[in-house]
Order: sequence, then C-alpha cells, then structure tokens
Amino acid sequence: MTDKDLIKAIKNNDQQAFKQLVENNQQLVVNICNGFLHNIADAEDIAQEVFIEIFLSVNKFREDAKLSTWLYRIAVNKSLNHIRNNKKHKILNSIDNISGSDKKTENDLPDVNASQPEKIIEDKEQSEILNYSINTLAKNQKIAFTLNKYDDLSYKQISEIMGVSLSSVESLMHRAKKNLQKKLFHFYQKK
Amino acid sequence: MQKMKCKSIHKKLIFFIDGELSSNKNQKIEEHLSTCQECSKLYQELKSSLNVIEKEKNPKTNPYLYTRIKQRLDDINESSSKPIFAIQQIKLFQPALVSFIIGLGIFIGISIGNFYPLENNNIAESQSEQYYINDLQQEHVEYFLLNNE
Repeated sequence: MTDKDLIKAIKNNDQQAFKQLVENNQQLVVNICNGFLHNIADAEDIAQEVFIEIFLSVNKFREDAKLSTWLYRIAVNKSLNHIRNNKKHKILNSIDNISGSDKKTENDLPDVNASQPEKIIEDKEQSEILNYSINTLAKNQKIAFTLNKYDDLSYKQISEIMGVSLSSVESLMHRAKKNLQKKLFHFYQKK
Repeated sequence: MQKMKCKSIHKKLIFFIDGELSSNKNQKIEEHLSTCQECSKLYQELKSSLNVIEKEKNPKTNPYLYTRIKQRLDDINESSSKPIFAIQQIKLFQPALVSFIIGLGIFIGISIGNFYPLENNNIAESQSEQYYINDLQQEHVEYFLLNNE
C-alpha cells in the first residue's frame, strides 16, 4: 500500500491502514522527536501525539501533499511545544547537570559496575553540553540543524518542511554551526 | 602571528569536520593541526562532542507504540461520547447552581416571614409594654434627698 492509499483508507476509518501507517513511520517520528528532546521516553510520548493528530485531522490532508513532510512538520511543532512548556524545568536541569550541582536520581546515576565509569560520566557530560548548546540556538537554526544532523535530511527536504527557500536553509545551517561551535568552545574553556 | 592563525583555524574547525571546506583550506588546517597542540586538542574535543549525535541517532522504538496510540484514541472517543450531563460538565455549572440555591433560600426565607405579619406585630407590642422608662432624669437627686429628711 502506498502512502496515498493508506491516507485514503484511514479517511474511510480503516484501523488496519492506520496501524500500518504507524508501523511504517514510527522510527522516523520517534527519531525526529528524540533529535529535539534528547529523551527517548518523551520522544515516544510526543510520537504518540503526532500519530493521534494524524488520525484526527486526516480529512484535512491534501492528497497531493507528501505524507512524510506532514509528519515531519507535526513532529517538529509538537516537540518544540513540549520544549517550550517544559523550558524552565529543562534549562534548570541542564544547568544543574553541567555544573554538577544537582542531586542525581537513581536513574541518572551511571552504572558503577561498568568497566569504565569515568568514560560513562564523561560521555553523559558531553551529551548534556551538546544538547544544551543545540537547545539554546535560535529556533530556526535549531530546527534546520537537528533535521540535518539527527535525521540526515537534505537541505531541500528541510526547506520543504520549514517552508523556506534553499538558500535560507544554507544560511541557517552556516549560522547554526558557527554558533554551536562558539557555545561548545565556551564550555571547553570552563573545564 | 601564530595566535592570529589559531583564531582563524578555530573559526573553521566545525566546517573542517563536516568536510565543507575546499581541499586547499583543508590541507592548510591539517598542516596547522599537526604542529599546534592547542588547536589539535580543541579539534579533538569538538569532534568528540559532535560524535554524540551519531550515538543518539535512531533509538530503538517501543514495539507497543501502536497499542498505546490505539488506547489513547479509544479514551478520546469514549470521553467525547459521554452524555451531556457527565460529571465533568456538571462541574462547569457548579457556581451557577450554588448561586441559585442561595437565592432560593433567601426567597423562601422572605416568603415565610411574610406569612406571619401579626405575630411579628405582637412581638413588637409586647416589647413596647415591657419597655423600661428611665425617670431618674425627671426627678432630681436633691429633691429625693430632701424628701427623705
């Protein structure tokens, strides 16, 4: 079944077609959400919301449009809304984690039985620094950078999803990389 | 001069890692990194940070994702098919209901009061009969003392 057939069938309330659409695209949607949220549990929650929205608003979907572009747009918007709603909480957590002043929960603690505990701590810190730096980029730079780096999308695909020109995406990517590099250097100097 | 060169290299490192520079620029940076320890360290750190993205990519998805979505959709359908006077909707009318009950109470109170006008008058009369008259002001204390003598 092609994407168009699936959409047609879902419009006729075909549950099996909806199941197939979810199974075909769940990896893609979870990956997009995880690229923005950097948390697999949150990414799966948001992915569920994305598919629910697809199901509930399928009648508004134009048949000539691309399903993947629609999925990407909803996933990006829902992920950004989630970040905005939890902004205060997330920023405080990230700053605490980076400065090492937080009280870590059991789940956050690295596995002490692992053969290289220092390496795990170092990896976790590195991941937090990178995520924090990406999250503090300007909104459009963050979207373009995340879609390109986490989802391997071409600049053309990104321009379709964001509804901007190809040259705008190139410019956004250039500025995103420059700013990200600056932010990361700033952290390295603090070490 | 070396410091100037390092600064200019730092600005290009992320583009060097992403392979976006011309072969000429790439070669110059490679040469510099092989001789400058500080820049080489920075390059390694940046490369290592950006590698985190590769590690985070394509996480394993939950095999029960569809089941969860189906459950949530069923919940949505169930809540939208509830009768109009469901408990949640009744809650919206609670303030109006409370105001109505208070108003009704006041109205009933006034109505009961109007049913017994005579009893109310009798009470007023009985109160006036027992009213204490203070006549001390009419009778001077000196006069009272003189009479006692």
